[in-house]
Amino acid sequence: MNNLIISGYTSLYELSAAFNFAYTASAQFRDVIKSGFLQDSRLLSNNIKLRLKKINTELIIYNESEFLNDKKDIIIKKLNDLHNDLQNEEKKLNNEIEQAQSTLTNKFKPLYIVSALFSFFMLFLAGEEVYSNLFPKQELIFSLIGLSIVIFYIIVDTFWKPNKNLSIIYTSTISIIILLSSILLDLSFLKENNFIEIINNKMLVNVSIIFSIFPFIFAYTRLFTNALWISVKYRFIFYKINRKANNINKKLNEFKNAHNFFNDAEMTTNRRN
Amino acid sequence: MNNYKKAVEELAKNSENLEFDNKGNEHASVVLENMLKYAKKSFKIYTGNFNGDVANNDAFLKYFNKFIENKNEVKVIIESLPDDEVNYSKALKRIIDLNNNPAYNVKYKLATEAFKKELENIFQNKKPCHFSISDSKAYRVEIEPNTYKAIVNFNDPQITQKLELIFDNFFKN
Repeated sequence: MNNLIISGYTSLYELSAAFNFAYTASAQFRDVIKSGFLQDSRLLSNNIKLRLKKINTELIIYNESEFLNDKKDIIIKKLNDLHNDLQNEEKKLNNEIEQAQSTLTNKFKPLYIVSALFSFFMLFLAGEEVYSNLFPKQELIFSLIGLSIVIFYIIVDTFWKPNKNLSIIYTSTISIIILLSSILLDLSFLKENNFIEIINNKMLVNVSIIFSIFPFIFAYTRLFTNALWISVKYRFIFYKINRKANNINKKLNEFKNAHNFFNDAEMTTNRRN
Repeated sequence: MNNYKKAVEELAKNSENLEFDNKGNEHASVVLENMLKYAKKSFKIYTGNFNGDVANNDAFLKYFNKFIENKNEVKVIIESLPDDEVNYSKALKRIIDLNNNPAYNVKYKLATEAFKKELENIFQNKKPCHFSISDSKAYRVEIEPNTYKAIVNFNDPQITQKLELIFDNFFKN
């Protein structure tokens, strides 16, 4: 009875296989996940767009102004510089959001497929375990080691080649070969290894559970840190640009107050913010 | 001009507190039509004879008539009526026709010397400048009537309410 450990977790592996495949197959499912993480960055991008629009409006209005006299060219130049800086930062922010989305959407797909295949394999091992009343230790160790290498390769690839997608067929085929090998090959040589004896069965099952949900953990962590970094970085940039814009407005207001058209002191004091 | 129209509309739509100047009857029309387009309650104007280029401008007339039809408050103070009634602008004819009509909220009055005197005191150039105000927050003050040169702000309640107080006091008396 003690040997039926995997069988106790079959529902979990079923769910894991379903979610991993659903993630890979459904763009809608992926959209729901990624939109939550990048919402803050998108909100920031919208705020930058609004600010850009405002500066652009001011540029057009001041271009027609006679009131600013000799200050006009300086103001227009400063606003133009600000507009260009903000426009560049907005482009960079949108590229980073796009990059984060693309990594999550396409680069991690092979990871989810490998995990889904492993969950299926675990369901098969659960059946074997019930049938023979033996824990399939060698098969599990062999498949975990083999798939660890595949997963490691996929993760490295997401960092090294962010713009090139790894083929799902390629990684899936290797994973299937590893999983089939763990069943078909004679793995008795593993029994002679002392290290294998140290690892207990429950620990192996725990590792296999982590394996089956690993893509979600990894992708969420990566996207969360990415989204946080993007948000903090561009909030700081936006803050600096806003300060520049406020300084220009302050100088403009000082100029307007000095050339005030209205007579009444009451009408002019502190009315410009 | 197209960009200017869009920029002014942006300021009016968002009620931006940005003081700016403009010149020429086309620019004046753009500002006035946007004041009317985005005002929700009232439009008050002190003008020469309400018979110039702006009062005959199609875009201005469109929003002016729409504002009246929506039963919003329209009050006009005219410095002097044109000599020949045949030459009245469409806008002027409309306000004269609808003046005190209970179905609408349109009133006009001719300016007095006392009103002009009071106005002179609030401007640096000591002239009774023509102006338009809407919703107690947007103003357009014409500092040079001949060139339509004006100072505009779509969200400056302090200045607007000061002008409105003088305007409304004159209407009450």
